[in-house]
Amino acid sequence: MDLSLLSDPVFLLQNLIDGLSRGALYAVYAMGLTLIFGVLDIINLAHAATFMWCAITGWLVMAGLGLPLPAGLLAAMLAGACIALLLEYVAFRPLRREGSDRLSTMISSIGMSLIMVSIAEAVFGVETRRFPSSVLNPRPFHFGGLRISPAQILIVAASVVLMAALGYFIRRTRMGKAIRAIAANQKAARLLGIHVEAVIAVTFVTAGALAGAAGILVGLLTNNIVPDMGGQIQLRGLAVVILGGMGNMEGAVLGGLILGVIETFTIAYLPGGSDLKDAVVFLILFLILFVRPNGIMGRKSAERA
Amino acid sequence: MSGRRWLPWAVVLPIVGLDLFICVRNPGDLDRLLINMILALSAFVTLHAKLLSLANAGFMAIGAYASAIISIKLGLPIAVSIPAAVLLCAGVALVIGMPVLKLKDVYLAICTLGFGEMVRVLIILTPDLTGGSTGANLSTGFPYEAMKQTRTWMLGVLLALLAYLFWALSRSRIGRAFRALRENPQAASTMGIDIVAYRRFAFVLSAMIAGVAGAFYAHSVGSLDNGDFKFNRALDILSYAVLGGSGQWFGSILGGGFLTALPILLREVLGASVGFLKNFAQLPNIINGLALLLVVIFLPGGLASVFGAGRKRPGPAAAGPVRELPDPDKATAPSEAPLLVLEDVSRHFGGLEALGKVGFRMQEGLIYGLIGPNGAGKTTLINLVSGLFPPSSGRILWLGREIQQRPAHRIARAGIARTFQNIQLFREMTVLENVIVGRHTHIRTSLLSTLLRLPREGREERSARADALALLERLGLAELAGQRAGNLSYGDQRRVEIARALAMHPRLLLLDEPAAGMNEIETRKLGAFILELKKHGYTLLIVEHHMDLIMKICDEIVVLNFGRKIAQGTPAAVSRDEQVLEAYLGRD
Amino acid sequence: MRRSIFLALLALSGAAFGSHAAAALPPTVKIGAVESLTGDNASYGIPIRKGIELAVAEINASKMLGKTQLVLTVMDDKADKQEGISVFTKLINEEKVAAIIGPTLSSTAFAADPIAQKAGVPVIGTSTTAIGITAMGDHIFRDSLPQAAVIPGTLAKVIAKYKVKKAAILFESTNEYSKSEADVFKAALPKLNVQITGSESYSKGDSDFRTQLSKLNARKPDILVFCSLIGEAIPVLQQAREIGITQPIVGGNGFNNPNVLKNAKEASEGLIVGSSWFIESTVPRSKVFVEAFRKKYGSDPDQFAAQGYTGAYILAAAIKSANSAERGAIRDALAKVRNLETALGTFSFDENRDPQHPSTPLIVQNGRYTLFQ
Repeated sequence: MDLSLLSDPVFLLQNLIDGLSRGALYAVYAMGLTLIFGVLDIINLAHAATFMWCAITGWLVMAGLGLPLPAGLLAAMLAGACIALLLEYVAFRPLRREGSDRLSTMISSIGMSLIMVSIAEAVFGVETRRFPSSVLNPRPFHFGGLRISPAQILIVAASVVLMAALGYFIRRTRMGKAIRAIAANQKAARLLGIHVEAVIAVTFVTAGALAGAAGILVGLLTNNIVPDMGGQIQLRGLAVVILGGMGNMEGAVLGGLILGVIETFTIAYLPGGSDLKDAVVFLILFLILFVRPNGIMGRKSAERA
Repeated sequence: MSGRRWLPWAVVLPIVGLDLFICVRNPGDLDRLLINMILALSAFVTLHAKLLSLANAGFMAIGAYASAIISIKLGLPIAVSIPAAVLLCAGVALVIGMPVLKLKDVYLAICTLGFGEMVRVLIILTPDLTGGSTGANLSTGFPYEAMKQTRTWMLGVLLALLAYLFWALSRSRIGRAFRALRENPQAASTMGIDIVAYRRFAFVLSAMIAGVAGAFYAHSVGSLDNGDFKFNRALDILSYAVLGGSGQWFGSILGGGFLTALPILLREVLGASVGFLKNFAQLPNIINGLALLLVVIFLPGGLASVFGAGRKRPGPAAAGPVRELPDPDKATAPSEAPLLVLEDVSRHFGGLEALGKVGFRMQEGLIYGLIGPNGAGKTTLINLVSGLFPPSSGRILWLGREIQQRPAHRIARAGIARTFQNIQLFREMTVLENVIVGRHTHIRTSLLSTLLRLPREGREERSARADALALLERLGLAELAGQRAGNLSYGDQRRVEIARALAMHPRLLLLDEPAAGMNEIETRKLGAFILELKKHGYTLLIVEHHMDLIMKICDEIVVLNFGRKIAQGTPAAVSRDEQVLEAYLGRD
Repeated sequence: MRRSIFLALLALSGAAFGSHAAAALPPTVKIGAVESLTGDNASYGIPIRKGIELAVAEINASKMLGKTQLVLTVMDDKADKQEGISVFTKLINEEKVAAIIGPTLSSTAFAADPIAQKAGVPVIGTSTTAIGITAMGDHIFRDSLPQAAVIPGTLAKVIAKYKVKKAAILFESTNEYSKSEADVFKAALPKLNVQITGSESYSKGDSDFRTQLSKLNARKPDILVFCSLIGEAIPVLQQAREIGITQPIVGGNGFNNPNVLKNAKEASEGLIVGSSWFIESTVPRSKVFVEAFRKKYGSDPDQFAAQGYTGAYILAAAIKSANSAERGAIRDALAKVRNLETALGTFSFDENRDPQHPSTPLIVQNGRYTLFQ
């Protein structure tokens, strides 16, 4: 254990900054996952592939067409919405008519994910790409020995804005109420006159847009856009969704931030931490599930395995 | 369906043909084909038990490295190292299975994924043992010649053995228990099937099979590194089983064979042509993905479902003399002491009190009725007694011993059987099979005798079958024995459920609205049947709304309203009780 | 003009081996190439393949083997051991190739090369650098310089120029290439009286390295050493510069790639890489290679393409000198390769069938790789 590092407050704060921005990324990613799960009881394992395609779309728009960041973000969110809608029509809706279980929807999303990633690899190749540095100033701000890059600020700001926007949408708008109704009881909602299929489509569109935002933000932070980029974040995203309690939006955000900080602190302070960080993340996941099988903020439900 | 007899063959022949083609063309592919088929079986086991486990890649890694380390670092022959590796996998599966299997499906999937990643981390962190990230190869002390110990024929033998294992298991009560568990875990548990134990069995078996596949992988490839067991491999393995279908084991073998053979075929057909290869190289992955998607949407039962039920359908019932009803199993002689006692039993759901301080006693050999308006808590009471969930407070005593905390399968074994208000038959199984499941706790054969197909196992199975058939005859359902249970009419399904519960020879039978949906004639027949049961020594508790039935056959009636007992007594007394009348008819 | 010089050189080198008048070579000689054309490592396999194909086309066009033409069969090993075994077996038994170039990854080689060794088929690796590759047998060769041959020389120069006393290392722990490269650095630095102040790692797929980088930089090392594959190399460089690391950065082999310059741009200024080849190399064969590559493929070659190209030429030279398509004869001729002029420079196999040719430390200046003095 490196004692001198431990007592360095600047290092600590820096890691907190890095951890929170990393965590905010996970939070934005997890929001989309949680939305689909909370409303439709579907584990969408194609969320990562969606996210990756959105990042590539952003790259096409910003590097290929030379458009600025807002255009890239918009394009990515639109792409995400379209892809999510496609997923709903191709992979999930056909299963609903048969009344199939969670297993089937998971497998169906896995299939779509494989297809999506393979097509990306075939079309774009495996080289890593980055957004042009013109879209966002890469020079970090320095103050008091700490540094924070514009990308990090943007990510934290974006996650706050998105969470607020999503919260408002779900709680205050009519569509949001309809979504909540479907989440509670699809059959009843239908009987109440809610056009269930349309609301489900809206849910997917929203989740897809969130994936799009996540794609751009990750691309900005890491400068590493590659067809494989979904793999790592997928695992983290799922862990966050579970940690926060399935279907719980605040829990997802909180879980994301916590996970980001834990991961960063593990690398920074644990000897050999960078090798262990995956193991630590999962260990914590196991432990939390052991103690609270419904996640940190999940409701206790009578239904167990 | 019967017209499409050629369909199974149209599916099987190309797949078998593809696989044979590989064997003949390039022996280098044969090991891979066999290993993948074995891996497919390991995924089948958990999928069959409705566990979405992605741990197979992790267990494969453990099996591979364990066998490599034991055979090379300890210098033991593979005849020792491989079984040792398999046992290690079993041990690890038992340990992590305990917490992990209690989780719901998606949590299970993610935790098993996490397990796989942790195994990889472990491999990298122990370079002295495993070669770390440089892998287990020549430069790290795992010489090729020493590693490459297995031959292709060994894999063939292993696959054949596993096929036999699965065949024997599927025909036994274990297979039947799994099928029941798949369809309806709740109902299965009330028949005495220990869901948790079966799931654990599936998880451990799956781990062992993945482990042996991993060990053979190590010894046939000759070198290992952590990249061999990535997340993608877990997904590949899953896709074999999904394609094959979670219902039949041989489907997974076909699925694994097909998905392994197809990329090889593509390679042979597209060849090494220069321009082509770059664009088509992703094709196998796309096909894998498509296979998963299309199978799940259009052919949910997988390849195996093309073969129909696949299991031997029981033939028409042998016409014979109508047998006597079986007697209930009584471990102890009936006595004056009450059979079942409820003491101050309460049950809350959140803020709602479903049952509040309910208490009564049941004597052996009598028929009790449980009535009350809708929502009075009758089914909750049945659920409590049968062990689906524990009461919030109070005690339930069976033959003097407390059972309120016991799980459903142990209460079933203690001699309490039940039917369900909303009929919980195993719809995909035949009527006869449903009833045979009821004999589960009475068939006493060990795993070993099942595998070796000792004569005893055959005897027990035949006897169980005969018992089941006899029950069906008694209930007038004999012609329907070979029918799929889900196809039956409502009334028939109810009677099958009763037969299934009776197959347990229970000392106490709980019937939840047995006459629902029956007409007058059927209801009267049911009443007569229940009285006969009483003559044979059965004790019954019947929840019903058909007042004439209840009044006619019950010795005593308990009345619930808003979760509380408001009356208890003979039918005559209860029908005159003020509170009962008020509850049913309301105040004027 | 260049082309005729090249052909002349070719003819001369043929003469250097002593031409046998009697043609014992059949009209076609089949050779195989096994590379990772899909998956993560396709970014190596594909350039190697391009290099090999370019070389074979040139060899056939220039009639280096007289009337004999080389027939090349390229197969994808998908970076999977079992697939590697499978295609090796196919090439050896069905296609009956005289020799195999490849595979891309050392891990695949550990499983596939022994099969070739057993069957008596020579194998030339053009990217397999792990310890123990050539130890697999006397039919296994490679032209890819192991890191242990390149790194110490580069380090010595760097340490002298920048007066280095302290160094920190970042590497990928899940990859045998990066890990062993890091091990070589860790062994070499103390020998040069440099203290290693920190060593951090990351796993495959990671994309945010700021924490590890900050941690390393906190100890104020004089130089930082990065051992990454091309995918991570770019973000590692960018993030290092972003968080304020201004010290010189020494990159492992993964950084010797034109994509680094293209994508990391300013962040790659001042990057130092020890390499076995670089695009501005003044070796005559190399210039010819670069021009031909640009013409055929419209992009710049990297070190792997150069190694693949060279591997094919070495094989052709051996076939020519053995004057036979017989596997054993080719193997013996390969073992005798000394001072062959190739795009990598003057090339020989040592007694362990490992490559010997000059390596060059490079530094990125003004967006180009230049010699580091």
